[in-house]
Amino acid sequence: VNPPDWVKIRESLNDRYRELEASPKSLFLRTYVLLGITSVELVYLLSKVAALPNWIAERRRVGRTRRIAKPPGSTLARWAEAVYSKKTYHEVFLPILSDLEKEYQEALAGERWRKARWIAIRGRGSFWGAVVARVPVSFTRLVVNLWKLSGL
Amino acid sequence: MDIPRLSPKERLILELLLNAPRCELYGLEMVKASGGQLKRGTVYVTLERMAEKGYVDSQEVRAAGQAGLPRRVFRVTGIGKRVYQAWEMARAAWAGVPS
Repeated sequence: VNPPDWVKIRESLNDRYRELEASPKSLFLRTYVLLGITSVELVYLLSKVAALPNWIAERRRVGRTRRIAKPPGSTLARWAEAVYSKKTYHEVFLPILSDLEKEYQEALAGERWRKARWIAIRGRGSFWGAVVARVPVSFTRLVVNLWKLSGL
Repeated sequence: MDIPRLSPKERLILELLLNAPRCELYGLEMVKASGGQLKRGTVYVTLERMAEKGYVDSQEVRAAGQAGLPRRVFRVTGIGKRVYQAWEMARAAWAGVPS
């Protein structure tokens, strides 16, 4: 038995494929499939575009009914309460956070969502600004306390 | 006895408090009235220092039936008022000095 001539087989297969590719039936099928895919994609895109106003309205509705899970600055309040003395917490950090809370609530009451978000960011900035401004005081107190503890 | 010192920010705070209707203000009101000279973050640090010097006094206020954190209202003490008046007199006297 002679071994199969793979080169010939491959060439004949290639010829057959080229014939099929060039045949009107194949062209028609490919065009049909391409048109089908394009039309499905177009329908999908059009449906998305048509649904855009509803999506925007839904986003706005959800935004209006959004509830505050946790007031802004509540984590910072817990942190400051744990780190600083009771007096410092009540005289410096609590007023900053209560101002933040008040301004935030006012913005929410006026349905100014972006302003509320900005107030929350600015309030956190103010809090850390106060932390930095108090660093010299805190450092001096730490040194004095360590000095006293050392008994020198 | 040392002469009490008064920084520009402290003087501004005393001025704002003395010109307030009931001589008392919240920190946020001071920030808004200062026209950008006082910052939200540092005003309370300054007020704490002034309270230690005895220039101002403060009290926590919780609005009835309102949830949330209590606010702190600040007022001038007698010492604060005298220091401000002394500073004003010094400034007026210094204004008359030819440079």
